[in-house]
Amino acid sequence: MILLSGITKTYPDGNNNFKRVLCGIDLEVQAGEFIAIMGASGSGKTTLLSILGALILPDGGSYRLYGQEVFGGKPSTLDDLRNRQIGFVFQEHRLMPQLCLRDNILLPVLASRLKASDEQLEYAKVLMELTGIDSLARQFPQQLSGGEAGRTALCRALIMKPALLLADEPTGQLDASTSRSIILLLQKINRELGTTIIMVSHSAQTASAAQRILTLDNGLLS
Amino acid sequence: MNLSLLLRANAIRYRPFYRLIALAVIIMTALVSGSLMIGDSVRHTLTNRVSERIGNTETAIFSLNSFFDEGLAQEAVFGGSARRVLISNGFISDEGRLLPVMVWGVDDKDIPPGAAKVNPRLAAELSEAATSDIVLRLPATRLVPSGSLFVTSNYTSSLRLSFAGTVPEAEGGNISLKNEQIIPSNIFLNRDELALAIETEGKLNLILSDRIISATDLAEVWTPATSGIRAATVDSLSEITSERIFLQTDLVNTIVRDNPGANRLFSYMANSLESSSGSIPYSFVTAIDRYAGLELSGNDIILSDYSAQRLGVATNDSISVSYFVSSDLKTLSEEQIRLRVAKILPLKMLLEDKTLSADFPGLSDVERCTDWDSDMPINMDRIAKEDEDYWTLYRSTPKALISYQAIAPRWANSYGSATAIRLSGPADLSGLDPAMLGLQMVYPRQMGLEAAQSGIDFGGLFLSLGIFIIFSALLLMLMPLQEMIFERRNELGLMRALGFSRRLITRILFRESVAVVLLASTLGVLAGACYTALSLALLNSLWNGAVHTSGFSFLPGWETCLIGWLAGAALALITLRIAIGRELKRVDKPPALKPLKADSMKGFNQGRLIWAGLRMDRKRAWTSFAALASGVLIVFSVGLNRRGFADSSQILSGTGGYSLWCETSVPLYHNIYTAEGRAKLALADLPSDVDVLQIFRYGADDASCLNLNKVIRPSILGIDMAALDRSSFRILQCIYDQTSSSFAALQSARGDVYPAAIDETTLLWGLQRQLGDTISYETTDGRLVSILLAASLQNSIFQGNLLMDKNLFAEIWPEIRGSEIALFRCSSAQMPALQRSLSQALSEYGARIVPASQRLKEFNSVTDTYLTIFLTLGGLGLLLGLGSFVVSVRKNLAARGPQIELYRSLGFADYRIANLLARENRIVPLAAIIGGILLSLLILGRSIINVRAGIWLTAIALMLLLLLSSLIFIRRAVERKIKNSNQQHL
Repeated sequence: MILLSGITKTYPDGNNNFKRVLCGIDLEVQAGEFIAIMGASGSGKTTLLSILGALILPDGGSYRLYGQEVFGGKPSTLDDLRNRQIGFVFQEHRLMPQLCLRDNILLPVLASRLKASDEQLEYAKVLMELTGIDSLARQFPQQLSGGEAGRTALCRALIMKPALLLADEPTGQLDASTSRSIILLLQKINRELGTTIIMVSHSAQTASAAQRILTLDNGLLS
Repeated sequence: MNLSLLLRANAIRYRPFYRLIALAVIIMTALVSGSLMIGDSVRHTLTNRVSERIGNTETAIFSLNSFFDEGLAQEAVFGGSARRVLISNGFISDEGRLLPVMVWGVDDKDIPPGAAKVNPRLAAELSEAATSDIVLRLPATRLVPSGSLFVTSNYTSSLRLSFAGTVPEAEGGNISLKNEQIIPSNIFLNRDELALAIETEGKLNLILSDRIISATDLAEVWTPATSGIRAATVDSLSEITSERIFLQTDLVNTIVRDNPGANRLFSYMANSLESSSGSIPYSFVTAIDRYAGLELSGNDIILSDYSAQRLGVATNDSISVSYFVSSDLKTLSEEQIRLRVAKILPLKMLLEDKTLSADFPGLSDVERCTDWDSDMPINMDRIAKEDEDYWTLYRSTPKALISYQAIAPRWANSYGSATAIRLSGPADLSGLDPAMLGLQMVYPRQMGLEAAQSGIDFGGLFLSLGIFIIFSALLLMLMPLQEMIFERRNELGLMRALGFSRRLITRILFRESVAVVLLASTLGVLAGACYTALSLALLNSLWNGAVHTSGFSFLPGWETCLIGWLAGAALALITLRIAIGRELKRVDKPPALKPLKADSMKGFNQGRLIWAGLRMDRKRAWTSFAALASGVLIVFSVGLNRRGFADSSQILSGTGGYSLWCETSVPLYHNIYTAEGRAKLALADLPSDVDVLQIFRYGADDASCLNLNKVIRPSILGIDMAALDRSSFRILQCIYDQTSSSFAALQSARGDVYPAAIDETTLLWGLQRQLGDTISYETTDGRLVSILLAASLQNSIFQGNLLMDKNLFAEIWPEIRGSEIALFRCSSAQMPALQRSLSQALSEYGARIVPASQRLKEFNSVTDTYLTIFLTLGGLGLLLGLGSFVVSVRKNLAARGPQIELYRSLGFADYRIANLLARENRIVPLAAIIGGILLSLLILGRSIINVRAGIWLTAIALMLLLLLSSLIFIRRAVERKIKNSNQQHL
């Protein structure tokens, strides 16, 4: 499903020098896999995930999704990709404070249509029930706990039924019990919906929930 | 580490916000202090104008329609400070133009006879030809009132003078006794020369003194002789006469009261004495109480033997006497009285009684009957040789004596009811006083200063006109404050965590801003000075239509600067203190969004997303809305309220349907409505369908919007109220019963209170009074009467004056018999020709004729100019509001970076993101423009229908331009933001 070949990425380090974060990443992911990528802070995990989410451009290499080169096409193709094919769970959740939970979940719908369809409204309800936040639908993000916010972000990532779910430190700011519940959810989604999941985490315990664990070190995956 | 260090560090760290706050404070203080400085400057300029006009004159003694002896000025009471003046209206003929001037006859060695000086304003108006040879025309005033029947037909006098230079304002060139800031056109000539020209040698009608003279002081030095009352004593008999020929009725009654047995005489020229067998034309006749031992009663007449013979009558026979009586504007009607010959006396007896007849100029002082020069119509064909022979031998010896009681009510006129009074002993004139003979006193300096200092408050006016700029500046100040506190929320949270109380934090934030505000206020005062200077320059030029005068000087007092500084600083500090407290509460306890109601959960669309964003940031949204909407409201409502000048109904009610307004320097004493009057005024060719309305004027201060001084006593116009009733002038309000026509209700006095109508603008702005108020005026004979403001007139050409029924006017000022104003009504096709012919015919009266609509336009232009000022300041407020809006949008978009990234990460295309943000930001300007327009339409109410199509189109076009500009700006800002937001992201 996913094929990364020779992906490189550099960033300026503030001293007029450039730091190479990714030094030629090769990765192959099959459809339906649950993969965890581990690494120390600053190792480039979020950068790699952002490239996989088509959020940033690599400096070099190739990214194929379902055999199609992701980068190099029209911007509308990437928009469509990010909207329908890929669901992203951000580390800091990034919920819109002015929208209630349900509306936050439905937000991706408006990228391609003027309003949510009845099916989408119903599916949002299903997702909220699946993640146990259906009773919080009318609440606003300021009123949620970390776990509840995490689950909301997860539902938002899934509302468009993407083939690929990317999760950046989904348990990063949560306690052990809440982290476990998030991980179980991810496993459930992977199992029941067949969604390919690539998760980034610095926690071995979190990463152990995945089927395959990769380590990012010195800009290379192993 | 101390508090000062913390304050300084904070102020430096957050200086971008404090810069915006400072800017807002500068604007606010500039406007407040600038407005106050404008008020100060205008007030000081008007006060300085008083000094220019009056100099050191504390007291002015004058007589309205008569003269007094110049010796009065030499009395010790004046301490040598009295300046003797002869003053008159007049006009200068200059290359076809007739320039109205005030003529001052003065004692100035630098102005010899044959020369004249002018003030700078008049000098600027005169052409080059006129400055070498000035042709001055003025009323031939004379001692004998021009409004009386027996005066010559020459009403004007002219002088040819050489230009002797200008009298600068510092030397009194702009002298005027009127409390008006408009600089008069003055011409100064030799007083003796002027007296000669108007036949008032040795007389004055004005004394200016640098001392304060009381009425008691004046009464001590005045004698009846001062005012031309002569009391001649011959063989213990006294005879009282007047230089004016006629003795005022009050004076006659007082003398008769104080001198029992007084014998009243009234000399007259009868058209004819007739009997069944003869008639004598144009005979001097004297009405008398008693003569030659005979008390003349009811229908008694004493004839001279000459008359008896000519008429072929004897004692107890009946004869008739025909005579003219003069009513309004010398409208003559001939009357006749039938009398019984009670006695026949020798002509010699009457001849020896030299003072039986008065000396009527033009009648008594000629050699032949055919030389008679009188305004009274005399048919010379009726004069036979015997009449000429009589005249040669006996001149004005009366041919008959008739009963005073019987005839005096018919012969009495506005100037008096007798021509002499005879007493059998010394005359007791102690009952007479100066006021009875028309001598009045005012204190021009005191009145002028009061009027200047209580005039239109330009400070308050500009403050109220600029209120929306202050409002917008306040909003501009609050925005950066809110954002600064929001940005510092973590820092403030930390301080709370470290134990700083909210009160202490409030104090810290407030003290940070104090230094900024105080410094900004100081700069604001300087900016205010610039604003003042600019506004005064505009009042002197572009906005001159509001004040119709120039030369406003920048003269603010230091106290005003201080007050402006304090006011600006206080306003800013109070607002900041309140706002800081509120914002800190919000930071501590951010308003929690309550869970939505279940029934609001139907559906999810872009609109919902947009409104959610707006609701989140509603404070900013409301602030921007308020700033913009208030600016739109002002600009739109003021713009639509401009009178312009095309609404025909307003023109009609403003001009009453009259086409031309005519004003003369020399009064017109004849009735233009009659054939005889038209012949006298060279208007015989005036079309018969031209409607005329002649108006009398008691000249006082101009209370129109052209006068910035406070007016206590405006000029009064004596006018035919019945004619006004038939016109299109409209009464807005009347305090009397509305069931009948309100003009008719103004035709009767109620006791001692005389009703008057007043133009609404004059009532509200010129006098600052309301209907029902009364104003005291002094009559010609020194009584005080109350004029009641009884009705208000819709905006009209009479602005600046009170209107009184002419009959009531005549009761108060009977001696004003000539009209200085006339209105003419004709078809629009006739108007140009009529204007030309009137100008020609009345040129010797100094007639200035303008279309009535033009006069109305001049008054409207003042209102329009004030509205223009308001519009300009409103426009500045709108610009400031726009500026706040622009800043607000930019700040809003600047904070949307993370949201834009989120949208992108969720697959929103850039154009969709742009649409969402643009739509959200469009709501405020759209709502503000629509809201501002709707509110202004509501305020305008029914007067909307009077707005011209052109003004509508302009207003709508401007609003569309504003809307379009806002939309384009928003779109571009959004696109720029999206383009710039993280170029690395896709």
